[in-house]
Amino acid sequence: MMPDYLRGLLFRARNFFLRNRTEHEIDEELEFHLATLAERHAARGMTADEARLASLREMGGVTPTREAYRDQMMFPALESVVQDIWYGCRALRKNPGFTLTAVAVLALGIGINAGIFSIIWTLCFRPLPLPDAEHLAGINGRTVQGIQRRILSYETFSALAEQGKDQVDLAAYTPYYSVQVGSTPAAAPGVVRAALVSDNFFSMLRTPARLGRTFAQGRSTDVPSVVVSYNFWLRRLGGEASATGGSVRLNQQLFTVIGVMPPEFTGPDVTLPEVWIPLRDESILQPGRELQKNRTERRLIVIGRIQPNVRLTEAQAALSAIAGRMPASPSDREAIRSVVLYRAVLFPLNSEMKAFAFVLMLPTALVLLIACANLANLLLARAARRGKEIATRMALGASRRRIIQQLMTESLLLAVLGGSVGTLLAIEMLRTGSQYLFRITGGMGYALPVFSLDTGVWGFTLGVCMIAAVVCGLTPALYASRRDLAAATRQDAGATHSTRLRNGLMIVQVAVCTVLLSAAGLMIRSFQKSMVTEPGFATTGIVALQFDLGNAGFSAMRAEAFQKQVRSRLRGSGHVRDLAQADAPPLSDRPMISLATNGTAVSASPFNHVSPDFFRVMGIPLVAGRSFFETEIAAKAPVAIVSQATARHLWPGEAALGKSFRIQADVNSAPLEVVGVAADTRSVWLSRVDEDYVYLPLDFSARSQSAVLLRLDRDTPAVRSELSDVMRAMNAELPVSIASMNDSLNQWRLLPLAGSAVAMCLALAALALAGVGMYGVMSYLVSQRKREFGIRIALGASKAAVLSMVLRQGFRTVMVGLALGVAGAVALARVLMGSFYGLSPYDPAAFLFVVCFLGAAALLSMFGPASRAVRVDPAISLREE
Amino acid sequence: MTDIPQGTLDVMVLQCLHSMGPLHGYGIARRLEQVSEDAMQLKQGTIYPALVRLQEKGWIVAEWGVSENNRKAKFYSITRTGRKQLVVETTQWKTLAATMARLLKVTE
Repeated sequence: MMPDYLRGLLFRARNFFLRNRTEHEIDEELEFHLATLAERHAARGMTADEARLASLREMGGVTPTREAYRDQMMFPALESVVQDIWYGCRALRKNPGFTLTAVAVLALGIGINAGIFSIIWTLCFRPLPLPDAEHLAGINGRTVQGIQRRILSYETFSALAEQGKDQVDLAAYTPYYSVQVGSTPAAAPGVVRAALVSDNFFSMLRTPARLGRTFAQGRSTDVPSVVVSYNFWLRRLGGEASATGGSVRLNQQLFTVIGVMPPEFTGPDVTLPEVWIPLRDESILQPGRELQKNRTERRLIVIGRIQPNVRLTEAQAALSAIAGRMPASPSDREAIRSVVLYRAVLFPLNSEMKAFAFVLMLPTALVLLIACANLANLLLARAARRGKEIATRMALGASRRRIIQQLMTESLLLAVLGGSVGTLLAIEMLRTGSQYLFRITGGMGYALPVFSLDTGVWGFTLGVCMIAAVVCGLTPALYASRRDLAAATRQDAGATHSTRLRNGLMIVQVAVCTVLLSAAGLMIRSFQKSMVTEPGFATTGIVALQFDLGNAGFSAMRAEAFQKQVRSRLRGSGHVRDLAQADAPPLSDRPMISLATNGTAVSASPFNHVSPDFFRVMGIPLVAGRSFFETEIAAKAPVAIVSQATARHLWPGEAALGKSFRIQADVNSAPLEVVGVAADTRSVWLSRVDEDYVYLPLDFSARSQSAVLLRLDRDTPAVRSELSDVMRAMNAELPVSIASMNDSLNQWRLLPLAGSAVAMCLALAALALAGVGMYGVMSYLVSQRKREFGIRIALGASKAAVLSMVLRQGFRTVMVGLALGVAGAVALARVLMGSFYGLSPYDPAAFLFVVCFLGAAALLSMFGPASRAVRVDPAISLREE
Repeated sequence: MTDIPQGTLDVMVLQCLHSMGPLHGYGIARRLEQVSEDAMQLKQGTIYPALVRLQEKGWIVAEWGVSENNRKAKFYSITRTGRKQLVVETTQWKTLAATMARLLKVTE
């Protein structure tokens, strides 16, 4: 048997779908009833009219009967909703200006927010795209001073991994590594990005190889092994299934390919390695480099899988306790004393990036806020304009509930329309953005995930706008439906309280817009400044040639001889005016060493090995002492040159010359004597002067990265390619990169540039929104006061006087918003000061510009409605009431 | 004259169709008027929602036919489940009526 409610539903559904027939049948049946009644009355001697009236009375009226009959046959509630939607559509279509504006406002708000937050979510908050990722945790060490470090030493890692294995299964890796791949049958030799990983790296991530296997713990074979990426397998191993078990030459050494990873596997990071090599095999790649021996050097990123039934906080407490027990000298500022565990994500935000993400997220959220405020304003103004319509409908018998339901339907309709357009906007933005980012980052060895609209983010943004629409739609609906009907039909709206609300919303919009424009302005200024800020070293005409002799398998003797040959050949090329050598040019990623004086005060500092000519070529003045001597280089003398800041840190208030310090990593070596003090530069971050920097004498026999820094007469592409030819003539197999210092400087300027571009786009969106908002509010306010203007003009006020009065009053509101906005922008700039180059909150020029610009925009958007209002003939506007 | 209590109309219509066979809306209304001898006030239109309710429950079915005065009319007839339901309702009503009668007698 069918349940009753289902049978009823089917019955009604059938009637509903055949509703023309149903209605016709109802009419026919009732008509028969009436006619038969009337016949009976007529038979008793009534006239036709009397009979008809008597029948109607007996029936209880045709219309109510039919309505009751109909309601019983179909879905009255659904029908009223459908009716409301149609009515709403008609109302929206009738007012295309309003509809388009509201939809555009919503679409912009929803689109920008859903897009940008999806990106940030995917990068910084979404669990890694790996099996069972919710149990993966990133591990940061925390120093004595509470500074978090993501890169840890082998010593720390091994202690945590061994003693904490009941809580967390820890693996370590270092993705910043590159190796030279020998030629294979499928491809020419080249340099690829590599990652050194602990043996349990893949098993901890629970990702099996697509072909072959991954590393096994406690491997005992003699031949070093390597796991390669899908891409590597395709390009260099010809995509043959037989590739596993075969061998490949890395840094001139034979490695057995034991596995190929699936194409979608990129590891727990945004870096994209092509080969994975066990940590312990580093000494095979680079003789002398051995993590297990060099235990205090900080190079590893640690990630772990929290054991089942262990909570993140418990694991953190356990690991912190282990870190706290590790022996460390009390003066070591860099010693890790505790750890912080966080849900592993692709791109953990460090303090540098947090500021950037904040800069991106805050204005985005503000745009949403403006959009909501704007929508509220538009709906309020519209509801006020429709007071008459609503009153008329109520007078005709519509219930209050019905009116509210209808207005809500209209608001929701707007929200749905705006939401759909916004969603399309976000999808399109993400698609284009993804492709663009993929193109630029692919070449840099980064694997960014494909960004797609995150359902959670999308739902949230859409929800916020829906709620805004409903709330904003409801307020005027309640208000309008409560009004005195008689007054409302006369359109006599004394809506003072909603005027205050509207002014408040306008102030919010102007303020937020000011903040955004100011932020954009300050960032552009910061970009301008970054273009003129001197990094402290010469860049014009300076070109850096970089190669890695260690990876290329040079012996110490050959390396020394080769570099000598390089120097003389380059000097003889006819383009080089001056030449120096170093490990790396300024603004490259440098490892850190710990400095110790008398075993006490310790400071972590980046360092560079440099030749004696380095300071001359790079134009870095020595404020005290001298550069290295050639004899010191040859004799590997224990000398060093420190930056001014380092000198201040190590020996506050004293002259640094002649003092000595040790590099903590090798305690046995002789203390280094300071022979010179170099001026401070911006060699680590272009955005700030280095906190510490140490220069050590270059060892030409060291087989590591080398950079030859050239001062050229003319730095043109032709000259650079000629220099490459010189290098190739000496050794065709050695990969050499060549870059001008100006180019690398410009790369550093990309961040503030990108920041200004994003800020500018958001600010323009905000400006458009605020402009629309001000226009709407002004139109409304002015239309409310038409009668007053009419009286003023009739009494002899000039149109110009009225116009200026309106503008003055409107501008007062705008001024409040501007003042609040400037205050907000100053506060924001103070927060961001550290991360953006030369970003100063005290930039009167930028603020003045923004205020004038916004003020002008406000005046402009108010002028239209105001002048329209005063142009109306007072006689007409007075009679209209 | 008194109004018809909620739910009673349905039973009355069922009983009507049970004893008289297929009837159109007007016929049912007339029959109810005759039986009640004007003791109850019935707007004839109100039987139509009741007829729909009974159809929804499957206790009656409707069919177009021709009336005694040669007009097209919708005829309603009781179904098997309708008859069963009528038995149930009749028992309930009798019990209720008996109880009410006893109760009122006692309090008198």
